[in-house]
Amino acid sequence: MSIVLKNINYTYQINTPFMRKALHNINLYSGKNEILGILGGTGSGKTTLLQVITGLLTPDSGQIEIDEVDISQYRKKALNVFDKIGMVFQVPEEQIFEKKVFSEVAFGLRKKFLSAEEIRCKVEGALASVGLNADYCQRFTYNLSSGEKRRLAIASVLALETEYIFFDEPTAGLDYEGRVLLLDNIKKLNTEKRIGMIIVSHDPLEMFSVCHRCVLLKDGCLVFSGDLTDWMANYEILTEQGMVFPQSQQLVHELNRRGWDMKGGMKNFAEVAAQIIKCYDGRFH
Amino acid sequence: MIEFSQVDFSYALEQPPLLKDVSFQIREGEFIAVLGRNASGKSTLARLFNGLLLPDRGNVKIDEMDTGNPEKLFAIRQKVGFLFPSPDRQLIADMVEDEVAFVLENLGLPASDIRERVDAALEMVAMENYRKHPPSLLSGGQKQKICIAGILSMRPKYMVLDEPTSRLDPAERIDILATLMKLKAEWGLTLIYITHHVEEIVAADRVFILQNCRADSFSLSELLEKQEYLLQLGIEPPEISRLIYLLNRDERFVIPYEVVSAADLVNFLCR
Repeated sequence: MSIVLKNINYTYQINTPFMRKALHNINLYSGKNEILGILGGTGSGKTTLLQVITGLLTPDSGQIEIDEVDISQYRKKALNVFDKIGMVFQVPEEQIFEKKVFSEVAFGLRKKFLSAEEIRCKVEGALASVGLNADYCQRFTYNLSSGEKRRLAIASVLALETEYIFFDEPTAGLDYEGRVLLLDNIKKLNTEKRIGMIIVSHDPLEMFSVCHRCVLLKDGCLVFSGDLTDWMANYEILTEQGMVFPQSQQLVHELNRRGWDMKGGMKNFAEVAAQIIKCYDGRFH
Repeated sequence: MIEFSQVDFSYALEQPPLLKDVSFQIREGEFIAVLGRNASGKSTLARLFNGLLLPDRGNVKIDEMDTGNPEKLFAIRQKVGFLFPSPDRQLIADMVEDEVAFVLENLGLPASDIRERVDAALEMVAMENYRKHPPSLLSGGQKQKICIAGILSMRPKYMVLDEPTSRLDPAERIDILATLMKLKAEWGLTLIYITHHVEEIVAADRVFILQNCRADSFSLSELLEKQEYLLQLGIEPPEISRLIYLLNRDERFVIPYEVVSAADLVNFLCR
């Protein structure tokens, strides 16, 4: 059970003066229970890649296999595969179309032959998991703030409990609580329900905290893949590639360059702070 | 000067108010950051600055002109530029320079003036090589810069930016902020900047926090010392400030909160 991409190429506006190659020969493998992060600057092809994997864009060439089904070849069989995939788009306004919050979340569930009670239960559960209480059910979707719309879009996908969930910059426009809640949720769904995820983002701090592995896209090419330790080991090369590391990782790198002996693989500022105190003791006492 | 006096606002009568008795003044050339959790009224506040929304009670005055006076709205909107969070919703033309020229054409300026202002605005955001490009094919950061250029061409005195960097990558964020800081320094542009990312606003003169229908004014260093309070309000302090906060709990470290970059903290630790 996995996602396999072989030699994927994609070109926008083909045969026009604005032809632009967005993906170059991408090879990528993601195991079923993995949280995979796709990092890269804007215009690097992250969203294109995600849309190719979900079958929204058809690649110029190459193969995409989801759970051993080649979705680029056999469209009818592919439909069953798309049922297993949930997708949270980049701009939530683009996916919200129902008038009431409840109907928006229930939309996908209604196709699943569930009882009204089950639907209500799942809708409220999904809304609660993004921090929206039951009072929101009867609110109008167009009356929500942009942060609330973002949360609603995520809830409507989480409610479906698909085998895979893909997120396109899920934390953009969310406040701190919203971000923490979402990232905790992603971790929980992955460990408890074994849901495989692909997250596209340009915030490396969040990505390193939830993803098992991150890949870096640059100008449509996949240039690096690895976990945080691998990324830190290649700090200088990656920085040359335009990667901006999180501030705490920049700090660790710079202190080590000046002769401190800090360990790699610290995921957040709290671990870094503890490590600094430890090293500080070693150096001055 | 921008003056809010005793402003109340709610979207509908049956809904609880979003802003209540909000009063403040913003001087020319100030950099004001606006923080607050989702649905705290940040975008609503932004839309009150140029009459896109009008207060239920109280008034908003831009250089002594009341936004409630329909005759003054045109003049107010020339003074207050507004940048929406998603550039795709703001871009309308099919070529970059047409986009930037759009406002000027509507102002009825002579063609030579338009040419000059468009070129100057594009240069200001370092996009002069993209004049003939369709905006739809640019990256998010580039689109956002075109929107900024479109506003700059109007030569506004004040600029309201609603989460302008939420869809940009770190390098583009730094770039947009550097552009804004340059404009502030060179033109004395007044910035009202809404964001969730505190590390972007380290240069802000004042920080407004929206909560419980109020807008309270703080200085940033004062806020960074009270990190629990910030977190309670749903605002995350910058990574480096959180690190300093943890280090300062150890009595051997006394690191000032003016340190906001990794490089500065390294220098401090290696003294």
